[in-house]
Amino acid sequence: MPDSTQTTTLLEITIEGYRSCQGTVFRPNPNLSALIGINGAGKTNILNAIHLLSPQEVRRYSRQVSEDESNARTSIVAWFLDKGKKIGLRLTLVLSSSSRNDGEVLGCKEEWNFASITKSTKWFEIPSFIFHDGKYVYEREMILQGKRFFVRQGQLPFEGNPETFDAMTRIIQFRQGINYYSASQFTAPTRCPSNFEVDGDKRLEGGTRIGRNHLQFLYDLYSLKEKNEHLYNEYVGFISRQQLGLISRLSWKEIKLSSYTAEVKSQGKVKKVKRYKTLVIPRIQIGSSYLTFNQLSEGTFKTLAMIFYIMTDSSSCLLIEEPEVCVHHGLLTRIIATIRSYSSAKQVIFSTHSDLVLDNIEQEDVFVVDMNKTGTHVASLAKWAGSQGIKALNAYLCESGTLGEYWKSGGLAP
Amino acid sequence: MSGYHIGIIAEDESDVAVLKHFASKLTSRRFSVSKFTGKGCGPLKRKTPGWCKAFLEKGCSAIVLVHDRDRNKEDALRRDLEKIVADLKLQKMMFVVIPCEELEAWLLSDTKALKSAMNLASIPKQILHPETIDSPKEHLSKLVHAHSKLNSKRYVNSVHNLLIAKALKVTAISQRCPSFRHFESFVSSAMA
Repeated sequence: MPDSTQTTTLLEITIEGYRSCQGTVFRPNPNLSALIGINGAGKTNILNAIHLLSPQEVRRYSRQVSEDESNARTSIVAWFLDKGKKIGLRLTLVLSSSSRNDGEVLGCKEEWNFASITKSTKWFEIPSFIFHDGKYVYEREMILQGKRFFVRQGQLPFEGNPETFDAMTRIIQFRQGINYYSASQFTAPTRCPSNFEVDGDKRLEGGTRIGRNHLQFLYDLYSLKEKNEHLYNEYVGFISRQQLGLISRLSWKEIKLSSYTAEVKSQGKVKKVKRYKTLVIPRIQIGSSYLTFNQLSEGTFKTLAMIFYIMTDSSSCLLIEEPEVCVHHGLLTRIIATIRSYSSAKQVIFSTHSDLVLDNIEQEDVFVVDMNKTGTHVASLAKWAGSQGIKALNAYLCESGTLGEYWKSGGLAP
Repeated sequence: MSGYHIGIIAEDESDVAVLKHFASKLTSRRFSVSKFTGKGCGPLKRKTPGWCKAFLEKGCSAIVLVHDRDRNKEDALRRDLEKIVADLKLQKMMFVVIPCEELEAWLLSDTKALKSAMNLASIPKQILHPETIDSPKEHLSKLVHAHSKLNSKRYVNSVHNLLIAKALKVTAISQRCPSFRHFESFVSSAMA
């Protein structure tokens, strides 16, 4: 297992009242964790629950959770390892139960535990929005919220305790870096636009809800070229024929456009304003053919997008659902090798149904997800199989086959 | 099928590509390659007989077998594999076993070539005896990360091994890695 270079990692998460997770406890590895289990066992629910730790997910909420809340509540208790210290975060969430089943956060209460620093086992109620970009903006947020706040100045555990403040800041940064990629996110490349428009400040214009993820990928790729040419070149080199073997060349055609708009001033005066924008057309060369992104095969498009975010996003924790979807087995081994390599820089948790994926990771990285009468349960492979089971597995690996084959042929069944 | 035909059994396609590349640098003779890929000593022990017979049917005159030694006792596995092939009594078939880690050690033979292949910002310190390094794969990973611009690059063995192999001179590998000389003599005998 590669050494983790991260100062903060997710150590343990306990999920209560979230879909099939009723007291589900999961202790991921600091680097790489693979969740395996039958359909409906709750792998995706675990990934989604971890994603709920992201402040972007809970910040959308419009109100605090009240004590007399009638809606069902979800409780997520996460323990982080920050510079060797265990810090706790308890989220009490009210999620929407609309027919779309989108699980939108309607209300949230955040409590923190700094026992490893302060020796006090008390849980402190501190919403993460009092921090912004690592800065303490408690008072400004209070005004923005426009209401009297429940934690008064002087009551926060980090006031007068910089170690607590720094730990909380790092954990919030870690939470901001939790990114989730679903199995279907980058499928159906035909939904990808062949071009897009950016304004004078290079911000994305327009866009529809359909294919939004695809458009965002194109724009993120274009933005990286503008903002970090070095990293962009690293990515383009990696996906090239000489390395991953996906494409020959990636180019961008930019067409400057201008249009007039009218601004109505005081006294009804009208001023014509010229606006500039750029039409951006990405093109991919494969062999002697030039293609737009929406002409790529499903597997190629998905791999390009997935590798892009693995390599270039600044996430601290990547959640990936079934990386094997639509990908040829030859390419899949390389993708898993890439994920493994980057897991030394960011915590990676993914779910899989592929025996080939299992063949390309270590036993210690495998977690079995199972559903029983009390809900979803997760156990490391060693715990799941027991000492006798691991002995049997190792004998099989030494004499007969691979971990993936053993799993596929029922060797890991309870 | 023209020229010589070699069978390669390895963990993945990139190992096959690396060996094919080195073989092509060691001989001017034309040759073609058939391959089987599988990971772990279990599949190697179980499938090697069938794969070797398939190579024979395909007209291979030599077999290169690359195996993983991460979790196993290398000598015992090598002996087992050699016995498996010997028991097959394949007539006129040459055979060589290479631990996978040796492939990555070969790639550490010339750090200037490594810099050039991986487009690193600086040249890592030259390693005089790459095969004495415990885990060449991890060592490569650390070197690439530490010497890349802004520490932005990550080494992925199945993606980068061929790239590095292409930048290397076989004389440099032969000079620093005794196991490569074994492969070198195997190629020259097989292609004689």
